[in-house]
Amino acid sequence: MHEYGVTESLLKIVEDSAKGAKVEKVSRIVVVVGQLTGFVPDCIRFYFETMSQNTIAEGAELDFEEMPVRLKCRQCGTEFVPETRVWSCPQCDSSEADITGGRELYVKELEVT
Amino acid sequence: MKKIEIVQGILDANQATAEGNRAVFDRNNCLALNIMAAPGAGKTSVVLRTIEGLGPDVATGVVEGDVVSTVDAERVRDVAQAVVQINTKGMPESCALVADMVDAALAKLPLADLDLILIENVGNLICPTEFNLGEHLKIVVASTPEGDDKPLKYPLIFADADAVIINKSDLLLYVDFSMDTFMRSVRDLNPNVPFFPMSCKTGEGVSTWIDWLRGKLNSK
Repeated sequence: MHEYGVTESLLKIVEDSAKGAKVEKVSRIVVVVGQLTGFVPDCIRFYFETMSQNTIAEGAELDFEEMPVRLKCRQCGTEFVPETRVWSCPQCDSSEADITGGRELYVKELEVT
Repeated sequence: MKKIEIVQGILDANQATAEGNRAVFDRNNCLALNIMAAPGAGKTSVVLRTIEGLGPDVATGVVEGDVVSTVDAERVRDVAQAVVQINTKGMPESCALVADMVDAALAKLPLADLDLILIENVGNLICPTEFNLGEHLKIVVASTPEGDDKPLKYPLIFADADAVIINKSDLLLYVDFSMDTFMRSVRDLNPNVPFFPMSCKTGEGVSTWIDWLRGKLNSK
């Protein structure tokens, strides 16, 4: 699994940001994760619980916003969210598309006191 | 209660190390390939055929990524100029190589003497997609017994590929694999990617791949 290293990076970003803003406690962290990535939110949560002990983020709520797969049809330019594994454009039925969303992985915001 | 907007990529640190690795490759005039595939597709066989096909005038170093064993490194040791084994067990990421591991491996390779570096990733079609290593080219190896639906199941790895090798072409008669279906699914995501159907077992098709790679080596 690759969530361990990802959780380490996540915690470092949170600690660095909190330090810069001189906060006492981080109570909520919002992470955006794209559906095309292989990252499993529950797995990140599991590691986070242990790793965040004795840090400014201990006990913080970890919320994930899942971003859907978004495609742009290479034939007619329509942007769409595919409903099945077979990606065909709802306008022209072409299956040629560029991936424009769904591979995100970033920390969006913190709630702090 | 107040909010702090951050918007910082969790993989930024990996990306920064990957860019450092790329600079090391470039400084030493080495072309680096990240070879990715499912377990058993034939990554190590592709590495062996590639070294053999390029011949002695191309000095090749190999970075072998594996969870625990050194089996692949042992197969490659006799033919490559230099081999470094990375075992990912016990590391933060066990399912894929990450840029830090490659950074550490590069210190053990005689980079100044090498023209080509083949990085054999851990067998997996999902995790390696997330971690840039600093490579110049991403090579995905598919194989006919895996079925022609893999691009639908693992779209990212095929969307990012700079070349797709379709190994075990000698088994086409025996397995349900339509070359047309497979190539169409990949091209839907990645329209200009070159395909190299080949059999590492018989050697069929290998020379087309070698010619393409030689072109990349000459233009680096």
